[in-house]
Amino acid sequence: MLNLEKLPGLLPDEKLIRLYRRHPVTLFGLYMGIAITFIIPLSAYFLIRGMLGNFFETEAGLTLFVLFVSMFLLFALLFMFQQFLDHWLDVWILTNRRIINIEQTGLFTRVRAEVRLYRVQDVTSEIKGFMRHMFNYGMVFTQTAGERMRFTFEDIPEPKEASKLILQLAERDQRTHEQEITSEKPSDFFNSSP
Amino acid sequence: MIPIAVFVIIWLVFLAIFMVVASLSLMQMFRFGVRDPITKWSIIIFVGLSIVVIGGTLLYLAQIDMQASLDIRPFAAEIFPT
Repeated sequence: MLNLEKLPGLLPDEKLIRLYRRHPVTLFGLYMGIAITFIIPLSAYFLIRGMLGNFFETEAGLTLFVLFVSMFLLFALLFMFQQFLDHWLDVWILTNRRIINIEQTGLFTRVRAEVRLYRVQDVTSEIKGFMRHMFNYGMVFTQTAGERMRFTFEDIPEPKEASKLILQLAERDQRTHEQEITSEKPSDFFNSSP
Repeated sequence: MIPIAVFVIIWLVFLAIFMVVASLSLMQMFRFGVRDPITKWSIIIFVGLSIVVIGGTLLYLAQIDMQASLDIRPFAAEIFPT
């Protein structure tokens, strides 16, 4: 498992500030799945009982129904676990030096991207739509220097607060980075070359 | 007349597919999940419920007569009366 205290490629003085995930409301499909999981076998039971009166009185009929319900429940459970996995393994890790984005797409595709905070120039938050306004979640876009690509936090809770925090940390890291550059002597640069 | 054993064999094939996909999903969760109580509890709940469903079905299957068979003709006649 991923230990947040031992992040990969830990930088000097790097501390975890916050871990962002998509808002729990975005798991609405999963909640619906849980409801349907209970409704379908019960509906099937009453439907068969209504249509074929003595189906459950035979041992073979009852066994067939038990096997069907068992399989249905197992695959519904698996589907819900995979939905949760897809939600839970997408994370945006904000430290005082960088942003790390890990995204899980399907079972075997995993994309990891990171950006140093001193490169962040512009941060925008966006809350679009009824559900996002109701539950206060949305997007945060970070624009980095020298690149057209934007780094996006998708459907995270409290996007305004998150964008403010990222901007504050970026400004602080820019100052730290400038100090690091100015403290390096030109002779160090030539001595360090192979 | 379809023997119950045929349904059980089909169920076992689906169970094998479930086992393979579930193992892969659990492996991904163990490898990449953030060390967190929710990660652990989601694994415990998924494995626990799966064991309950499989165990319950196996207990039921242990009690039945595998030689019994299902005659679908009376049920087909009820649904599609001639």
